[in-house]
Amino acid sequence: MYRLLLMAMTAATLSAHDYWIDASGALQRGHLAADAGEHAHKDEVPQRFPSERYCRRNGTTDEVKGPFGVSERLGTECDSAMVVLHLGNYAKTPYGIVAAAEANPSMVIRSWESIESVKRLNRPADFTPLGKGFELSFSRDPSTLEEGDKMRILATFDGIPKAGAVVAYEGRVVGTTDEAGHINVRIRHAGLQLIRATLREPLRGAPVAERLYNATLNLEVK
Amino acid sequence: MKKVLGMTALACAAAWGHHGVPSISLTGVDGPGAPLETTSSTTLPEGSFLGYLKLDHAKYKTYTSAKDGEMERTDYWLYGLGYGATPYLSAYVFMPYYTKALDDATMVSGFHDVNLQLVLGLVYDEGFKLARKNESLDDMEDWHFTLFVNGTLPTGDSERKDGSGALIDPGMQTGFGEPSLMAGASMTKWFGNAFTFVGDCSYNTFFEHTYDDGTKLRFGDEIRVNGALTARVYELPKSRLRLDASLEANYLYLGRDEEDGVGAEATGGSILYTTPGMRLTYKTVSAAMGVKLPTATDLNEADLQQGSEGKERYRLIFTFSTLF
Repeated sequence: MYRLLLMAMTAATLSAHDYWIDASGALQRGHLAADAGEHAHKDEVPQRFPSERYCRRNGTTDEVKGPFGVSERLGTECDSAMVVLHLGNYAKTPYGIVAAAEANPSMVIRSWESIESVKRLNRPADFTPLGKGFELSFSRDPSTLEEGDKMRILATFDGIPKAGAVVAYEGRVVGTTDEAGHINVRIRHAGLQLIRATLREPLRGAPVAERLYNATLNLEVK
Repeated sequence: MKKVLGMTALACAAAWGHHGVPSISLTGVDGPGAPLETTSSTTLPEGSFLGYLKLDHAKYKTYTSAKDGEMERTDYWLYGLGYGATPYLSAYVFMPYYTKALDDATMVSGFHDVNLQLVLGLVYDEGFKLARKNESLDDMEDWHFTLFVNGTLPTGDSERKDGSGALIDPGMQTGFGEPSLMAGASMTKWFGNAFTFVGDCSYNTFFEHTYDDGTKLRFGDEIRVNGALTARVYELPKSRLRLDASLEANYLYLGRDEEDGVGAEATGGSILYTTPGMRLTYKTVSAAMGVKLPTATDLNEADLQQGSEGKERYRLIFTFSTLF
């Protein structure tokens, strides 16, 4: 029953803004509709966050430190490019979601630290986890993936499989990962894929009650 | 003997006991629907229990207005408990209780033979595989199948006697007196939207029993073929509540009973039922109700088979199930 409640709560977080990395390597935020971007909405104003960026090329992963944000570009020369954004602490109150520091403690319904990671496979054969934080990967080479195929997704944290992550495809929650961190997702359309997962980690002695990880996996399917 | 057929259905009814497993996904109200009578291809989650209750209330047509011992109504209660031994293997035990009432105020009621069942779940996903432990909604769109076997044990009373000490009609007994066996298969296809197709077939056979008065009786074999379409007609995702409508076609073939090795008159035939129904599911609790109507019948001696399947005015079906 706890699992049910957890997923019901998490599903709501999956409906927040999407993050994705487009073909030019630019990090985007907004709402990316499944139907070829016709209804896509992107945030226009660049926002920078504390971040880590990773680029894996020929099997070697390099890290670039420093603030990074929406509309900025990651190297398209990377086989896999990943950015982890530390979006800060938030609180849900009767009058909306606000920065945790600005919330009246007596009015806080729940609070969390938000960490968002986005990974794009520029070369699908480079499908294994980078081992950096909460991350989605494929369980096998998705190079031949086509519309209608079902693919096994792997959720990991620092490379370790994570059970219980709630996974959504194009905004629709499809289930939770098993003990091996796996879940099957069907590719519904060609073009940019947006597979997203949420993982929650309760905190003790912290300014917020939990840490909430969102991970996005992007891949172009022909 | 004309009422025998009404009783033989009980063994089969128990086989359908794993209907109504709440089949909504763990992530919302999406997922395949489950009809009332047609067996859905669902196994229980590993380590989970299913509590199950079913009522099949049948009202029969009577041929005369006189109180002359015609079958008036039957109430079959089915109490069941299921357990998910593995993601692909579920085990059930069912305890039936029935009441049969004639129009002359004769009534028999009591627990019938206990029923044990095993269900093996399969899925077709690039080949046949055993049912998986953790399915996503996309997995649920794959064709799902079950193979099931069940058997009854003669725990009921097959030798009831009336006030004069005479054995009452075998059709009024609360036990077959011998074991019975059944095997069947089901298939389910959820189309990823509001609609689900479910189909099943099964074969049920009985062993000959010798009653206290020396009569030897073997109930006729039974074959069932069912098809159903369900549609999710209302949902409240936040409350994890959904309402499904279903329409079923239920075909039943009844073999002729054999009495002392000879085919018994006024037994056997074929019936096609139509069963519209509704199912309300809230989280892991589900309740369903429907009415089963004989729409086409071909009974061997129809004029003599009052009180048997195919001679109902209606059957009112109610089920309740909960996972825990």
